[in-house]
Amino acid sequence: MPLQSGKIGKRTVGEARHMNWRQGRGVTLTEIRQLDDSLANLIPRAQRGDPEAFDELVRRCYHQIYRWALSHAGDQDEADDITQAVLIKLHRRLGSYRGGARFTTWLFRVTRNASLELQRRGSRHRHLGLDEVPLEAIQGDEPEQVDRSAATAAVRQAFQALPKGQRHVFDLVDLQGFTPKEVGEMLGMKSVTVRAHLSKARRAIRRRMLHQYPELVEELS
Amino acid sequence: MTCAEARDALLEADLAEIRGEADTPLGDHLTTCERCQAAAAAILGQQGALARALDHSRPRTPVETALERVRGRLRARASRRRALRWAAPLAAAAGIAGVAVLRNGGGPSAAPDSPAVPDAPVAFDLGLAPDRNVAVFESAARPNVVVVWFY
Repeated sequence: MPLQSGKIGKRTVGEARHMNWRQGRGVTLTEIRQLDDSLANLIPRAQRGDPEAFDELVRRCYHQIYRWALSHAGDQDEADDITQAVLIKLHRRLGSYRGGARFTTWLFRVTRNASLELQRRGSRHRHLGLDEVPLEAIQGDEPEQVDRSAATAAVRQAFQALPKGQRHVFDLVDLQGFTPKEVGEMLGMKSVTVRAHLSKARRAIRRRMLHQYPELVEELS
Repeated sequence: MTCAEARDALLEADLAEIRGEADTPLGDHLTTCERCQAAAAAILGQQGALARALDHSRPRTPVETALERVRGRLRARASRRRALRWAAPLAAAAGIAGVAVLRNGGGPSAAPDSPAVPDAPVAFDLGLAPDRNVAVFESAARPNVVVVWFY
């Protein structure tokens, strides 16, 4: 049966066909790897106490730390607090980084620990404030992407509603491109646990995604 | 693989499989079924939008402000440490001086008619060396007493 491009509920199958995963994707694993490479010379200098090297290190990692903090945090203010705490810890503990793992993996663990510490202290736990992210950050140039952004609101809610372990695993594997093995090292989980979290998270989120396309969902139910 | 099986597999499949890059039953099905391709594309597109929502969010605090805050915290921490470095031996000195004064006051008392003569103050030599965590206290009044204070 030929694919229909007409409107089917909230979205069209034709729109779905033209969605491209690679198009407009933000920070990718490649970029994180490039970040690792770009820090190779700075880290030893910063470890020796060179303040300029430390400042430059922070400038290069700042957005990535915030990106991770946002996934851990209840909202953008909390993500800012976590990021600030990470910078202090980074200064204090940089000397303990021995180069056994990638620097970004080590930095992720520092971010995770800082967020757990802050949440224990403040015992604040609100939903992730992705709705606070400006719409223009999500939209692209094409007008159809405005509709697309509106449709992703439900997906964002599904992401927010995931249990923390599932959310982190889904974020790291499916949104950032780390392998389950790497995520296991980052989160201190066994591969089998990572896989279990990933399956549950994918099922929950992808069901919500497909519900944007009622005609496609008919065969699922 | 039927469409229903493919839709169920899509819910848990790895991204490479959904993109049709993997040689699996689902990958094979996606190459022949346009409707399931659309479902796969919908998943990929929406995950991409979610990734962008996270990736494009910016910290509210500019990096230079954050760096300045770090420097401020580190300066405050260093000055607290310096203060503690001197406060500990000084507090110890004060305590020892107090004990020594009390002990001196417990000696033979002067005759009631004689004029009151104040006790000679107890002087301590503080052996404080910078960048060390030990202080040595010695008193000329009690040469047999040496206090070593680790802090």
